[in-house]
Order: sequence, then C-alpha cells, then structure tokens
Amino acid sequence: MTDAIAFALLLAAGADSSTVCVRDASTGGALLDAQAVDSTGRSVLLAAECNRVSTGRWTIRRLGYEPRRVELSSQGGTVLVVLQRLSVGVAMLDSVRVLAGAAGADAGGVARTTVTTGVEQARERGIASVNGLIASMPYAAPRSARGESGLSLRGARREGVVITLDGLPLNDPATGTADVSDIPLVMLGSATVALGSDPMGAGPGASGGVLALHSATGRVLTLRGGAFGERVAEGGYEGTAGGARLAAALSYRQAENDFTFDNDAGASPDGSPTRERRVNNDERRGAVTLSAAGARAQALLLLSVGDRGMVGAANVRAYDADRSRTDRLLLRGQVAVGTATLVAGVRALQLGYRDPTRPVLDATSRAGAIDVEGRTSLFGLDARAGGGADRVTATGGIEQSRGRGFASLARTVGLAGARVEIGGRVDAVGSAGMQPSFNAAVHRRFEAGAKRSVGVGARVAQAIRVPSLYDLYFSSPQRLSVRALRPERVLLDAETNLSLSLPTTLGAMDLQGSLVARNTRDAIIWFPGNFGWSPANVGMERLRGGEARAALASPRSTLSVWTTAYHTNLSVGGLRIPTPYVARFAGGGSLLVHVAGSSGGAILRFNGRRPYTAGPRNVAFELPAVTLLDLSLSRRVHVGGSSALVALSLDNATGVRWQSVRGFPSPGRALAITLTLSPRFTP
Amino acid sequence: MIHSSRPRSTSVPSIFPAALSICSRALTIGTAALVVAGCSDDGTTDPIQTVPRGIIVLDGIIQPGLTFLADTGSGSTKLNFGPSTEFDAGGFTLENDTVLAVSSRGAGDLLYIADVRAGTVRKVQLPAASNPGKARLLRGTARGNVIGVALRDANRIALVDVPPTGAVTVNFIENAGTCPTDVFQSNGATWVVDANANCKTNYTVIGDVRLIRIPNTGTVRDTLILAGARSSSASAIVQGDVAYVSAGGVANFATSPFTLVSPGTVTRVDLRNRQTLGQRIMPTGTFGASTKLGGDGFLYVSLYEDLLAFRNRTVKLRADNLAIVSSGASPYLTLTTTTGTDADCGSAVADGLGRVHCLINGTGSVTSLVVFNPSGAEIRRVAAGQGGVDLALR
Repeated sequence: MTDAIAFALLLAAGADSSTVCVRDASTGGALLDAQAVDSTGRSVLLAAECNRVSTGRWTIRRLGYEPRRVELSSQGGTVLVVLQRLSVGVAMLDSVRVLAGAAGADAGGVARTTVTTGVEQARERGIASVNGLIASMPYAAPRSARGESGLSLRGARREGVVITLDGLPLNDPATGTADVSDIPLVMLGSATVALGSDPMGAGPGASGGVLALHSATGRVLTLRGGAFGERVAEGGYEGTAGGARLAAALSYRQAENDFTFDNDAGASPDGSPTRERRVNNDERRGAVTLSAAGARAQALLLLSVGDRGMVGAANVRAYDADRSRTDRLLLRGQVAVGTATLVAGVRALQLGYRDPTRPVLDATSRAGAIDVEGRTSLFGLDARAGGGADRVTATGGIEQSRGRGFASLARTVGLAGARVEIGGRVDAVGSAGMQPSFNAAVHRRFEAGAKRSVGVGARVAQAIRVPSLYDLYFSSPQRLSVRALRPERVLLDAETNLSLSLPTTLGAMDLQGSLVARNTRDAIIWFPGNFGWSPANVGMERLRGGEARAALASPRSTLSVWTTAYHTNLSVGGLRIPTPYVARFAGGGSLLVHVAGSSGGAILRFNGRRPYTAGPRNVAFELPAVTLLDLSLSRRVHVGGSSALVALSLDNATGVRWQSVRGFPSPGRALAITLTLSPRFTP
Repeated sequence: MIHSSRPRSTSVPSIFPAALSICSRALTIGTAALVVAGCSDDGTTDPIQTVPRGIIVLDGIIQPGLTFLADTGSGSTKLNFGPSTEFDAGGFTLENDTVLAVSSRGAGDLLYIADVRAGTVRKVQLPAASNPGKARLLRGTARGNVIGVALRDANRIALVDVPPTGAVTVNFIENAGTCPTDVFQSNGATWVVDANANCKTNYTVIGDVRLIRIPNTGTVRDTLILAGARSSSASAIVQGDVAYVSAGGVANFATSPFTLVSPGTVTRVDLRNRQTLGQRIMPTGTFGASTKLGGDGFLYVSLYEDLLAFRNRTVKLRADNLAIVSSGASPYLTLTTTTGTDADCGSAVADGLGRVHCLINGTGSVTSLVVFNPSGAEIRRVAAGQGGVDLALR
C-alpha cells in the first residue's frame, strides 16, 4: 500500500470523468497541487484534495514525489492515488501539506509524536491568528509579551524549537528564536507540531521539536472585530495559469490591546493591586504573500510589516512611548530536476526600535539568511546536502556572519512488519566545526481486527544547537574575537510511544502516550556575567517526562484531551535549576460539536506553576498555575456557490487575570466575531 | 520601620564616638582592633563590628533579594524581593538593621526597605520613570529622619517618611542637579551627589561630578565641582565632615574595542569647609570605582582591571590620604584563592580584623562568599546564593 499506487474505485460518478484524490504514502494525508499530465503534455492542476479529471491515461506528478501513471476509465468513480516520496523515510514536513481531520490528524507510522491542525478547523473555533492557532494545539506551550511570541515544545527553551514555513526555518539567526506573530493565518493551510529532536528534518536547533507551518491559500475573505480594538481583514485568491496554481493573499490586522489588568508590581498605599489599563500595547501588521506552484517547481514570497508599542512590564512606565517595527521578507523556491529536488530560500528580517523620548537609543538590527539544499534518492538512501549563510548587523557596530553546510543520509526500511528509520547528518556551522547527529526509530503497528490497531515505537536521536549570532557576540565582552562558545549538544533524545486506535460506540478513538528523556550537554544559557548579561555553556540539562493524548471523533463531534509532565533540571555550580517557563504539568482539551450547520467549541488549557528565572526552584519566582477556557460558536451557511462562516469566540471566558511572561499581563475575557467567506473553488 | 537602635553589643572595642572630629579622622592602622564606621549628621553611628554579626549579600539579578550569612558555618537564609522586572539594583545601603535599595525606571521606580531582623520587606512607589539611583537614611533633616532617594531622571530628591504606622509620605527637593545619584545629610544640609550626566537618555557624561549643598534652612545652595571625577554613576561615603566620592570613570562602549575616556576616581571632600582635600585616580587602564569603607578603616574600591576581559580587582586605599595600600608591584589587593589564583571579587570589603570578604560569581552566576585573612590568603568559602552583586557586613 505504501510502496505503490493504489487504485480504488469507491463510488460511481460522471461518465467522462473521474474524481482523483491524491494522498501521501507515508502519512495518508491529502496532497494538494499535484498535476495530471497526459501523453500530449497537456496538464491539469489538481489543486484540491479531490479533483475531477477526464478519462484517459495520466501521469500524476507532484513536487517531491515519484510520479505515477494512472488510467481513468470511462466508468467514472473516485480514484485514490497514493504517491511515494522521493526522499524515502525522511519527514519532509516542508513539502507535505497534511490537512487535519476534524480532530487533528497524527502522522501515522512514525515513532514520533506529531499533531496537525488545519486552519479551516481553527476558523470554526473563531481563531484568526497564527498565535491563536498555535495556542490551540496540543503540546504547544506558547508565551508572548510586547506583541511577540515564543514557543516551547517538550520542555525546551524557545530557541530549541524550530519553526518552519514550508520547510524554510523562520528562526532569526541573530537570536535563534522565531516570532510568527507577523505570519498571516490566511496564507496557511495547517500547522504541525512535532515533538522531540529533529536532526534529520529541521537540522540544528530543533532539540525540543518543530512547528511546521504549511502554506495554502484559497479563495477566502476574513473579517474580524473583537475586544480591545482588534480588527482583522484577510483575503486570499487563487487561480490557475499555464498549468500552475497561482495564489495571493493580503492581510491587515490591528489591535489596541488596551485591556485592564491588576498591577501588583507596584506599591499602592494600601498594599493591594491597582486596576490599570495597558497603554502603548497596540499593534498593526500587514502582510502580502504570493505563490506559484506547478508540477516541477513552486515558489513562495512573503512580505510583512509590523508596528507595535513596546509596553514595559506591569509597573514600568519608562517605555510608554517606545515603538518597534518589524519587516520580513521570505522567498522560497523549490524545483524538481530529474529525480532530485532543489530548494532555495532567502530570509531577511529587520527590527527597528524607536524611543521618541530618547532618540539616541534608537536601534536597528538586520538579519539575513540564505539556504540552498538538494535532495535525491541515492542507492536507496535519501540524500540531502545543502549550505547557507547567516548575517546580522545592528546599531552599535554589531556585525556577525557565518557560513554553514550539511549533508545527511537516511533510510527507511520495512523489517518484520516494522518501519525502521535510520539516518545520520553532519553539520558544519561557522567556527563550530563538524557536528554529527543521528536519528534512529522503529515503529510497528499491529492490526487487531477492523479499525483496531496498536502501534509501538521507539526513537533515539542526537541533535545540536549552535550558538546564535547574538550568543557569540555577547559571549565575548571585548567584541574582538569570538569566545569559544560551544554548540549545545543533545547527547540523547529518547522516546518510546504507544498508540491505540479502536472503535467505540461514540466514534473512533485514538490514544497515544510517550515517555521521553533528553540530556543536553553544554546548554547555552544567558546568565549574568561579570559585565552585563552573557551566555555560557553550563552543565548538563536533563529532561524526563511524558505526554499523552486521547481523541474521539464521531461524525458530529470531536473531543481531544492531552497532558504533559516534564521534569527539567540543569545542574550547575551545585545548583539545580529548572528550565524557565516549563510547567511540570500541563494539559488541555478541545471539543467541537456540529449540529445542523452550526458548531460549538471549547478549548481548555491548563498550565501548572512555571519558574520564570534561571535560578533554583523557588515558589516566590514562579508563575501560578492557570486554567484558561476559550469558547466558540459558529455557523456555516451556503449562498450560491460560496459558503460563509460566522464564528463568535470568547477567549479566556472566565476572565482569568494571568501572565504568560512574568511582568506582562495577558488579556482577560475577549469577545470577537469573525466572518469568513469562501467562494467555491472550481478547477 | 527604620531601626535606629544600636545593634547588639559584641566584644568590639567601643570606638563609636559621637564627636564628629573623631568620626572624620581616618583611622587606618593596619590590622585589628580599630573600627571606624559611617558617622552621620547627628553623631550616631552605623557601626561595623570587628567580627561581623553577619554578612548580607544582595542578589541583584535572577532571583533578587538578600542572602544572609553568619561569620561562620555554611548556612544561609534568603529574603526575596521580587522579580527582575521589579528590582534591578546593583547595590544597597545598610542602616543598622535596615537595608535600603531602589529599582530604576526599568523596574518600576521602587524603594525597597528591608527589615533584616524581622525578615520583611516593604516597597514604596516613587514617581513613575523618575529612575531612582540610591537611597540612604537622612538623619536630622528639616523633615526629621527620612529616607532620601536620588531621582536621576527627575532632577530631584525624594524624602520618604515611613512612620511605624500610617501612610508613607513623600516630599521632594527640587532642582537637585542634572543627574542626582546619591544623597546624604551633613552639617545641617542635604548634600546631593550629581553625576552631571544625561541619565534621562544614554547616561552620557556632561561634566565633572558635583556636590550640591542644600541647606535644611535657607535657600542658598553651594555647588562643589569635583574636577576630574567623571561618571554617570557617582556615590559617596560619609565620615563625619569628610566625604569620599567615587566616580567610576567614562568608557566608550559604542566602538570596538572599547576605549577608556576617563579613569575612575575617589575624591576626598571636606564638607565643613566645602573643599576638595585630595583625589585618587584609579590605576591606569582600569574602569569603575565602587567604594566601601572597611571595618579596618581602609577604603576598598572594586573596579575592572581593563576593558578587555573585565577582570574584577580590588584596590585598598588609606582613608586619610587615599594612598594605595598594596603588598607588591601591583596596585591591586592580593587575594589568593586556595587554588593559587587571584580572586575575581566583584565586591569586597574588610571587617575589623582586616579580613576581606568578597563576592565571586562563578558559572551560572552562582555566588560564593570568600573570606581572606589580612595576608590575602583564602580562609573561608561558602555558597551565597546566586547573582550576588553587593555585600555589607553587620
């Protein structure tokens, strides 16, 4: 099934055409943008998950996959075409757009915890931003302050998480972190959280996991109005030209974020917190995306600008006039050359800080990165090699740059009914030298009758995180030579998992659990040094824990609950320091019920106590546990060939006053209404 | 809240004279018995015991608060202040059993008053974005005993009255310099240490540090310019009629490599006659000058040896003539650890026995209190929390 095309006549349709549905062999997920080419060279873009194609002999092609020939009979019907990746066995999240099922789809058959959520599902829940999408996803631990966001996965620091857009890392080479606040939701089709080190797929930096964003622009118009001055207008359009799918999207969003909060950081005369309103917390963001996808090449352009107030911590008024502007350019291209795939990307990020009251403190930093990569199948092995360069300049004479390159080999084989993945990779980054890493995994699924199966898997990996350019700069007080700050190395990232699928009277149930352990040597931590803050390699950081998730899907409803338990511990100088902002216990759940064209949803998130300093565990320096509830009601109506989705959302329905980053209050109860118009797409 | 009572008596010789003349004298006789402590306007003293009752370490970063240690043993206790978004002080003043420290404009403009004996801390809100610099107990002002706080960005001094019960009241002395960084009371006047820098923006030094005398009665002010003393952060140690004003110098950090513009200085000032008695320029190439008065009567200046590695060094000065006291060719105090290396003391001060107590921050900003005998050999090392930036002996 996974090694060849499968044809399945599922049901009768028109006499002169058939419905072709294209799926990924590894994940079973739908593949968009495939192309059907006949013997005369005539091509038809298969833009949707399933497409009507006239009868005849066709070759189904898609970038990154082995082409398959298929004959569509005059009897019509639906044909399921399963395509095998060119790069066997490697998790090519970048080139696979897996649209989630109603409950969020798991990538099956791999010994790794992954969850994918579709944007369309998120819209039903009244979610209208990438940050909101991430916050709704299981296992994701986002936090934000001053309008920027960060993400922790599997107990890692945020610089230990790689965020990609169609495979291109969005992490800033200067800081090593990625802020996706400026990525418009309209350009996305889905997002995948993949836990654990990913040395083969994402490469350096992905010690905690990967958040893979997948682009997909349809014909859609979204308007939203909400509390605290939130206004959103996003639109996307797609069409075909010359056998290629062309798409464009525009996005504009603004918010005042002038919510009230309890200031307990000051000192009121009676000692009680004072009720205040956030000022200079507004944001305005605009973005445009253009993409073109054919059978052998595709390209994506993203331009975004963002302006926001740089409000200080709760009791700090010194930044009430400060502003920040973020400009981002991202260009990604991918082309199939013979059996190889070439990928190239360019990223540019400019951050401007403006202090009208102290213009002398104005600063600008610019970061740029170039990536080139080739992938092919070599003697049955998936081979990848690439290179790139990073550069950062900033006010104050900061200037850092370095080159990098890598090569990897991977192989996936079937062995006694199990799927075995093994791969090795060598990275060379700047002056960090050659850094090898590897990944080995085995997964076996046992069928136990109809719709019942048990999967067991295990995976071990090594990974590295090279110092960011700012790490290198600030680790060297004299700024003359780069101090020998070593790469942070995940010596061992081990995971065992168990999954269970079974039918119940309420619907199909999926259960999944994992036990994880990670040892990281030479963790790069910013401790205060003898002259300001400076990063250093310190001690051994250990993580032990587990994750579990249960999902129940019926035709009318989906229910998902999840939990994580992590114990992190950095040993340094006789101190035992937990990883900041990682809760020992966290969890959540989501419910979505469809009734007669309407749906009601709830998302519950629990975060246990989180330390917020790089010091020993001390309850005085922990954020309290918090439970948040988001509610939504939506109704979809069809007008002519279009559909309209109206979603009413109530975030933080119980009005909890909380902080995701210490000192920076989060909004309380927030009501919003979102209208999404989706003209029917006719290929 | 502010304990003005004397600490418990010890076997220390009772050299806490009320006479200002004695207080102003620099008693800098080598090793042991003599104790000189800060003398204040009303003749009371803030004595340092020959053998300290305890050591207070300010954890200024990571988990701000105070770590208390005894003179022996390895135990310590912690008094939490709050997160770094609410506390960012790099130093503190100890007034008997009361610790005073402030948060800058970047951490909410707060005054912290900690009762060492009770283990409690109280916060007082100061004007928003006023950028407090240093707090000190002022005895005998026109408003009585109050806490004076230099507000760097507001050009004024806050006079905070904290009654045992009731509401805190805050009054101000206006037009108190370009960037007031310290304040003290002497001879019927409030003295302001004006760093004379553009603290509101980027702390660019405008000119020499100044002492501004503001009489408790009357309106005539005097300004004493401390020629050669330049820094955006200046502070004073007051010994009766004498003030030792430290200025850390000026460096250009905008270029690479960093360059030293002006060295640090310690200036000795006769407050009664309002004149400069002398000035010690810190050793060539050094940057910074954070000065403490030791229990042995010497001044201990913490600074960076250079602008390359920023190695911490300590310079020991005679209080009477500011002469450097060193045991060899190096101007720095020789403090040798048990491994034979020079100690990297971020802050250091001696007790009445001449033992030097110093803070060393290691990997992970793990702080150790290391004590050296008068010969400079390490005799004690004890864990002292994390992120220690300042210490004081009780």
